[in-house]
Amino acid sequence: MTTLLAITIGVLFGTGAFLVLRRNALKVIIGLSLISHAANLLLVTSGGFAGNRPPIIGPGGGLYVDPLPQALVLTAIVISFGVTAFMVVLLYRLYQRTGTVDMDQIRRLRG
Amino acid sequence: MKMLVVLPVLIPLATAIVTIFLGRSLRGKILASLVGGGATFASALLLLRTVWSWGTVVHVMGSWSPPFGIILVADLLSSGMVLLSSGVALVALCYSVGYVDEEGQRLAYHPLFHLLMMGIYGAFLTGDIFNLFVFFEILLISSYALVAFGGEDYQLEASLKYATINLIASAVFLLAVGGLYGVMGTLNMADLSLKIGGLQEPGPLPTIFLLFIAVFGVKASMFPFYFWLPDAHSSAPTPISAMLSGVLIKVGAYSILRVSSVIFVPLRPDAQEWILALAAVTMVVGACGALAQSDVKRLLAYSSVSQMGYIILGLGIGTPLALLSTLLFIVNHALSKAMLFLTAGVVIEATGTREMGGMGGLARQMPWTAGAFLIGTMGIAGVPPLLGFFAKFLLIQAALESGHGFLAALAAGLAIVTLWYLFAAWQQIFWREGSGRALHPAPRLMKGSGLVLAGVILVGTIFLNPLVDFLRAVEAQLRQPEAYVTAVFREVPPVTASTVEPQ
Repeated sequence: MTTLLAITIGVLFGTGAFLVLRRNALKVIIGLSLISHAANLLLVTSGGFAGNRPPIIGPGGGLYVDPLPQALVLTAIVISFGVTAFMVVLLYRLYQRTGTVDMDQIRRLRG
Repeated sequence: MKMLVVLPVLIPLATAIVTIFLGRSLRGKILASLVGGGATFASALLLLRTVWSWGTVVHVMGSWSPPFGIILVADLLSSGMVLLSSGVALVALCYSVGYVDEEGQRLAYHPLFHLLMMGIYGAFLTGDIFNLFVFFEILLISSYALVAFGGEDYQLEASLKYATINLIASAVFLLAVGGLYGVMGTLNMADLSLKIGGLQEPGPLPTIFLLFIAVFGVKASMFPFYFWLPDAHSSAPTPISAMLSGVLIKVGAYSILRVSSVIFVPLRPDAQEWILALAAVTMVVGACGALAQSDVKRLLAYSSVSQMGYIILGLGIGTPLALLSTLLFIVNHALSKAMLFLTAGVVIEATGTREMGGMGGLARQMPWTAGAFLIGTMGIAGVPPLLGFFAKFLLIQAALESGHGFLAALAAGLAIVTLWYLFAAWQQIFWREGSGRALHPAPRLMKGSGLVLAGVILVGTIFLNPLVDFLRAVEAQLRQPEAYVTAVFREVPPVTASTVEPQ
């Protein structure tokens, strides 16, 4: 299970990094959201991913999984959702004004 | 008394909410916003006074005891930073009232400004590393929106660039937090300090530490992560440029200071070489960039990169003297650079251009602004007797004492370059033969705000001794992470591993 997760995280990071390096700003935003998904997955695994165990202690005690990383991930997901939404709006506004999403054509500021 | 720690976070939040719901009444919004800014400043003053006389103040949020619950901790460094930034923020807010157009103020300017401030104060006060991430995101998303506030193409582009690089940094921050939690099983700074102090083998911790340094380096515009800064800081509306350069990049420096002096104390020597090398390159790159600019706001932004290099250099050397110089640098740069941006804004408003070539001879028409800009120039360049001189002098002395002769020479050499480009800018804008074009006088509120900050710098120079005594106390507290840990766990005893068994 851990191996599978490790591969998933790696693939997500790789794809995200590839997309972030594109010229099309929309692809950059998609890449960014993939990278934050990868980070979220890694955060879940850091608490010890244990399949079907619940993150609360049941009535009879029993096995449970550390709930803190899950709470952290929920926060992180909400934040990355908000930031992604903001960036999409920003890009849409830029598209309305310049008529393109190609960063090379938009680019006015140099470094 | 413990509620005082919460106030600098709570008041801006309340102000933001109130200013949203005031609808389209402009006067009401401005009044509420200024009252909120003033109240935050007052609460920061009270907080610093309390911390100074009673020691570190800790507030446990929602009475969930640490290390589970989130705590807010105000020690001398945190409360000092909150006071400094709330002061700069209040001035920038007054300036905004004159600067931002009415439609912008009716819309979202005031709520965004206060949310930005809430994120900054929260980042200074939190005692939990994941909570630091959350406050970072709050301040970042408000600053993305504020950079793009004018809605011009270049502002949207700068904001997009700024958001992209910081979103990647946030993902890396999460990785570092995940790694840290996986290794240590806690995210409370004081608890981490205890556990890492008792560790025999560092394991993957050095890597995690460097990840944190890289993430905070993005905020502090450390080389190679500085390239978003000149765009974002020069494109933003002027009061926001002053906030970003004066306060927001200091959050990065503060976080490096906090994690290296509380959490990763035993690992500090591992990272030192990296930090020193990157700080040196940052200084050089910023200074070279500033030399090449003809746009006054871009020049000031590049100068910020270079000055952040000095601040991080002091952090990296890490001796008591170097830390003292870093703290002086932070105070000096926050006041002087904010003031320079504000006065540059007045000049841009008057002449209608940002190119320094199109200005000239303004000293006769606007003598006060010219004087204020000169004080800021002297402050950043480190001309005696201003604060900046002592900061640079102490830094060079600390570098020499700790055996970094090359870095001392570099810092001294770049001080001359700083002097050169800033005085060249002042000369171009205010002194040489003017183009004789008609000026549109800037609102009084804008001119006055710059002058207030110039006055604060002069007062700080006159009362240098009490300021240095205070910063010495801050620095002494930074060298004793045990005191921080004790203060936090005096509230609630630490929960041992036997009472909680994960998995």
